[in-house]
Amino acid sequence: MEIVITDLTKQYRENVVLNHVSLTIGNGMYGLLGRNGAGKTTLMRILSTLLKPSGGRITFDGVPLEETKQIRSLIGYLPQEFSLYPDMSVWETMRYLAAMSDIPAGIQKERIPDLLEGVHLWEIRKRKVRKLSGGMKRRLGIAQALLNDPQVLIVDEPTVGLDPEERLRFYNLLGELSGSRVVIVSSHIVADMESVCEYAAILDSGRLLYAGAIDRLAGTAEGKVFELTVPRTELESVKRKFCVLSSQGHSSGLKVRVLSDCVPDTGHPVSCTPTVEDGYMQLLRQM
Amino acid sequence: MKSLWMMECRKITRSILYWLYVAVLFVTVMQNYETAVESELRRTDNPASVFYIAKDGVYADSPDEIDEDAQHAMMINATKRLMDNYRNNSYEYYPFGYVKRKKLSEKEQTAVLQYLKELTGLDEPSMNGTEENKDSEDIQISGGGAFVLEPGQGTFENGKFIAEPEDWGYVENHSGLSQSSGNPENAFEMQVTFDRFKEIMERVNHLIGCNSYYSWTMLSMYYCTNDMQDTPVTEQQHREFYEKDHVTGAFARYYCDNISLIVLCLPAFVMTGLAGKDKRCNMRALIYPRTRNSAKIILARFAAAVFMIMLPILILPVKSLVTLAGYCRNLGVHADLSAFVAYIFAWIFPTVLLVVSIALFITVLTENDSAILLTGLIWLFGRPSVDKIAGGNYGLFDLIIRHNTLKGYGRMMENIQMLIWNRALVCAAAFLLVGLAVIVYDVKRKGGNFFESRKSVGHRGRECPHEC
Repeated sequence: MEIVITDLTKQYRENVVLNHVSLTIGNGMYGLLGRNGAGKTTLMRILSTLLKPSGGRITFDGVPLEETKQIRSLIGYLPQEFSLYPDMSVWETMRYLAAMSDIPAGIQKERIPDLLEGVHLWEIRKRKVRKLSGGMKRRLGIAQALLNDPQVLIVDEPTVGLDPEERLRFYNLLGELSGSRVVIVSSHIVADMESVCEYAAILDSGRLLYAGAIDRLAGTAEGKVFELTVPRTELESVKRKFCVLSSQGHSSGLKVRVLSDCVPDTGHPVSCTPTVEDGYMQLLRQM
Repeated sequence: MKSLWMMECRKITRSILYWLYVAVLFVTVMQNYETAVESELRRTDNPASVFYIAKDGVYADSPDEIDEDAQHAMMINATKRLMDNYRNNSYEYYPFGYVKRKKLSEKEQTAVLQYLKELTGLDEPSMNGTEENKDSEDIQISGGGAFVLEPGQGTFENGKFIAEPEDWGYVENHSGLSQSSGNPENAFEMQVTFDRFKEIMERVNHLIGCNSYYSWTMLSMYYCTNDMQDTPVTEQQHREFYEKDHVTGAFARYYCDNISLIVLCLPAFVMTGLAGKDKRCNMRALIYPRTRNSAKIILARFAAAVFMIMLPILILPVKSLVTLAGYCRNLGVHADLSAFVAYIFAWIFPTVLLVVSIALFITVLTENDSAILLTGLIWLFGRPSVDKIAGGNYGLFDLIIRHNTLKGYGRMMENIQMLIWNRALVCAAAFLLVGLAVIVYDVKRKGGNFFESRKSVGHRGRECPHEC
């Protein structure tokens, strides 16, 4: 499966949400990175046929997005903010959404147990949705998105509100699913994407800043990451001069990791090997 | 489609709004319709009862026009009723098409008393029945005769009044007797002309409020058409009841009338609850990208709502149907067992379709509860006028069919053409609205935006409340 996005634009009156974005997405986990409001959700909603683009073209293995019915048979979507009917059980929810996907009853009977076992919800299939934890709801969300065995799984900020353990389980689950299909997952947490995605795109204010292998992202900050050691009182001054990536307290003062185009003239700078997150920050800084 | 329809039905059964609708329907049917059935079955020997079978085969004449006798009957009966209302200070009126009772102020009661004095020539104690005739009781039997307990008969034992069978005397012409010495309501002669009577009734109507029993509309309906319950049945009505309606048909019409005002509004709550649930539960982003055709989704929901709304409407008259069928079996007459189903589907079903389709279309379009407001307005302003409550007077654009009497089969059949056109038009409007709802829903599923801002489907929505 290959998704080709060409010159995609989405505009609400004067407000340009996606600005001439061109991108190619292949099989495997693909990360969409960007700050809140960067346009990630809008792009995902367009790919899910929930929103019409203002301009540009999208094809799924050559099938244009306008062929809604065909595209919908190819995709599974888990939105960032969603709920389920609280008075339905896990099993009923799956049956209901399977019926909405035109899945024949015979296939439902085989597939739904498999999916619920896959997301570890089979044991609690009779439990009402209102009694599920946030992590369980997310897993049920994934299971429902897989009901039609989609070739493209679109997952928008799936780990918001989950504790670290649930987050890890969730990404592992997505990793398992990505083998034979495209999994597009969005987040503003670079570390999450770095651990699970091979490729990523970075959006900011509707513009595409980067698209490619995620491990190459670090290269964009090569020679621009420094560690400074400064007294606590100078932190504000450092913040004004440089883009501060992190700061760590020590007995001698603060160790501050900064981005700078030239070698800083303060705090005994030590050049550092950039990480993917440093590269991401460097790209955003350039905007 | 069938499985989706069943799941939508199950969703409806979990809605509080649905059970509220069922409760209102149940209470209305029990209070109005069932009471009327029982009351009618208790007075089968009363010449005004539809069940009445004259032993001599002679029934009341049809006062089709307001001739002198009809005028007199109207004046006497309306004055009797006014006297009774005055004594109890409880006046009937029809503010929403259904009968209500109103209590007048002291000043208004004094005005009514003056009118009664003018109408009857009686003074207040006579009208209250405090001076005379309180000690004379009678039991009316069919055929106009009565057993009369005259003053002086019967004995008191241990504080209880006991009348032995031999204390009662049979009087052939009971009506003449009661006019002269019975209840004060029967012991008066009209003191005014018919024109003056109409003036007084208009003023009384003004005192009580719009559409009181004493409005000309109601008086003429009760005394000129001979179709309301408390006028003796004519031979034609008798034949229609047993030979055309086969008993149950008349009750089926009356049942439909009783619930007509409910189905003009409350089904909208059920449909709005169902159609708006996706938004309230933040489910649209999970449902919109599914492969199922928009028409199938909308039709499944529409059919589920209509089915669930019709279900209690079809179940509730079963008790009375069994009772009526049993009565007919004992009497040896044929009862039409399919009458309720036929009338419900001919009269009520189109209205349900229309109300549900309006609610569906508005909810799909606006994704809020404005459909309830709209159907509330339709309920307030779209009801047929009160002169249509006796049935037969159908308009092409009437949203409900009124027939607040067990008689009137003939009047319905006289205007059956208009009735058919009306119901067909209502059904057509309903299906048109469902079609529009499908189009709007499909446009929305593909990203079309009618009223909402960019933050709509699956975009920073609120978490679902526990009950939605």
